Amino acid sequence: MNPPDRTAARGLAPRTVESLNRALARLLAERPDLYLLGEDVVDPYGGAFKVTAGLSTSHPDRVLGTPLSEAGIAGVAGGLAMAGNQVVVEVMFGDFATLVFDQVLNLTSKSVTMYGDRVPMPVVVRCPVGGGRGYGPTHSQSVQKHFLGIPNLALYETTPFHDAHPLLEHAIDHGPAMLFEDKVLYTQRLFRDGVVGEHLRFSLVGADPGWAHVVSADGAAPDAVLICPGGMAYRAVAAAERLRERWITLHLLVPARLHPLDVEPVLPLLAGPVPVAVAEESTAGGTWGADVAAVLHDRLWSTLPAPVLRLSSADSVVPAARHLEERTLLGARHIEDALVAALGGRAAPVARPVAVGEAATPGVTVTVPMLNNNDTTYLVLDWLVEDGAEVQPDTPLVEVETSKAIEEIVAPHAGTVRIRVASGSEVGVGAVLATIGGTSGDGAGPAPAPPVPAPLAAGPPAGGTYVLDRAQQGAAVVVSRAHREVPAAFTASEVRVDDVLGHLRRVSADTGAEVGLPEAVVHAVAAAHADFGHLFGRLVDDRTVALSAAADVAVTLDLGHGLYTPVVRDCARRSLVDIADDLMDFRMKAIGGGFSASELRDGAITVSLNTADGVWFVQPIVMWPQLCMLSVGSPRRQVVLDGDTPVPGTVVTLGLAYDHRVVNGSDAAAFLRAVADGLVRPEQVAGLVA
Amino acid sequence: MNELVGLVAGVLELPPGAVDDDTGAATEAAWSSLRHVEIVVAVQRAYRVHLTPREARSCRSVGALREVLTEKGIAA
Repeated sequence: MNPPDRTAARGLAPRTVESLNRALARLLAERPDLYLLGEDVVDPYGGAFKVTAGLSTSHPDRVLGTPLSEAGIAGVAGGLAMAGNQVVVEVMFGDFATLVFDQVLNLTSKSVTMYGDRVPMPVVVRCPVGGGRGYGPTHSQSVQKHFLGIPNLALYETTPFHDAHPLLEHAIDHGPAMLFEDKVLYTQRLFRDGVVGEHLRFSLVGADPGWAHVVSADGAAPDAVLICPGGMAYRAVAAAERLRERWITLHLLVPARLHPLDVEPVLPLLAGPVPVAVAEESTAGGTWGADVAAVLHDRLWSTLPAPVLRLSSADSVVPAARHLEERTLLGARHIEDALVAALGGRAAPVARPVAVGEAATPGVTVTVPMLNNNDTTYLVLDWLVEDGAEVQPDTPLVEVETSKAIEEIVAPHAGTVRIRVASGSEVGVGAVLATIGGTSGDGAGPAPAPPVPAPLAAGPPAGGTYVLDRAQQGAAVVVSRAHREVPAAFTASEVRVDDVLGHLRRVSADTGAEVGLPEAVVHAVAAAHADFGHLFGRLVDDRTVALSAAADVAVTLDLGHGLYTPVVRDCARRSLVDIADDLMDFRMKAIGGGFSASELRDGAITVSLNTADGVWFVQPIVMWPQLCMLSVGSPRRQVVLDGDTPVPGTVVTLGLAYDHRVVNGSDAAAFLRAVADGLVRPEQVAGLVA
Repeated sequence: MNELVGLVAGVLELPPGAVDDDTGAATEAAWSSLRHVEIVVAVQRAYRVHLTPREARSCRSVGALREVLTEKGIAA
């Protein structure tokens, strides 16, 4: 008989080893032609990890101990299946699945379709895999990738979200199959009732055996999605918890069947422009994760904001010493740091798995930070130091061009620079630019520069297709996100501007330099900051707004060379002439180039300038994560009422789009009125141009 | 025709003969705020000179541009 089920008696979720044991016991009871073969699987030992404890006692004629010959066991299993039986094989350590490989590749999988008629081969080879136990190089490997893509062979992996009985049942009925069981899961309890701790929830999606979809309990939309096999699940959950403390929401997708992979049910969950990563304990190269990335690139190319980030363990044997093993195998901290870097949270240092023999101090990795909300890739322009140069903290290393600016990346650390990317390369956010200190490991120099496509000479061709230039691609990302994520409302107001235009003409004459209506509007918006500070800021998450202490006003500039939104800093404390100087500087850069990334970020509100002749008004969008955008059209002459008397006058239309999650209509109207007052009321106009 | 006049005429898409030192925002409708910035940037590139934002705002005619360039030691 099987061991007493103390876990169930206490109302706890079963541990993975218990779930597997119960599943096998139930399947042996349900299926009289099912055999279980393996080394030391019989009682009293009950298998190296006790998965088969009690089963040989209950089913002594079908739970059979075997000699130490994995190839022999697999061959017997194939023969039993061909004779009409079902078989579960236990390989004591997945590392020895190499000895099973010939039978699986050339007998079990081939037999299904090489005899003309389809031959059922209900064989499941169970393989405990992975490290984390201190078992050393030959008892800790993740061998899943070696079995990928064999016709008729399905690959499954245990997860803490999937009960083992339907999983094993599916594997047997869709066999031949390999079932990989990450050893660190054996002692961990399954998640159940849709709960993954305090902050995360899960559900199963797709047809059996399906995917586990882990989301934030508060319903927050994901900042990134991580796909991983079951063995990584606890580490991925830990990474999600750590990222949550950094205001980053990570969703997880964990399939029970690795191959063939049914991505259809999860494509809608990945359809938004959210970064996607794949994490696996295997070493890189020809992996399941690479296969997943390739599939997602094929299916989601138009919406992925960046190539799928692939995370693996170090290119290394797995050391036996636990402290070295932790450095070598992909862990929660590696996932956390890689995702933070990919999302632009910080440039360095980034923890990454380190190979055995690599320097104990692996050096600091200099990665590409997120320099704006527009771009997911940047162009490496020029290295400012030589490969091998000694640098100090803050030494400028490299110039990187965004769609709208050139930014210097500085050394975060003193040491010897090893350049990893050549000038002219296009690099994604989070990509490694260089290492400082430590050893380079592979000794590789910078990669060769990829060919740089020639810029479009003079606008799009008539007919045919063309690719948006970098600046427009950046704008597309921002406006798409704004349109998709911000439930914006809109209000407008007409303002008579004769007086303020008169004042501005006098200021221009007095100072000898032009000051126009845009400067006055920016100043009036900034002046309203004191009373409407809650409209100046950004949305941190669905419930949190970070208010801006200063009236940093972004302005839209489209002078025919791309749309830019540089920020005039602290406008409320500065004179109109100062603001006019800033705007002229920005206009010159909008045509001639030369914006720095810092000039283009962290605006608290945006003013959309649309003062070209004939433009009456423009309905702005809200530049996520800001809360509001105010538009100003061109001044126009029309008949207005002065009291009850029709007189000629000059008016402009101000529009305000606002994030209705944060700002309500009455506040928006009051804010717009305050801005209008700043342009109309004599005392405020006088103050404006003082 | 001098070089500066030709440059401004090119930006404004006017025949060079229609441009002289008096041509500016106050006299020529084609000298819009956008064209003004384009003229300033074209001057910076052509003469390899940097105009401050204040200078750029003040140069509202060909003559004013010539004066600023002269102050910087550039014969235009």
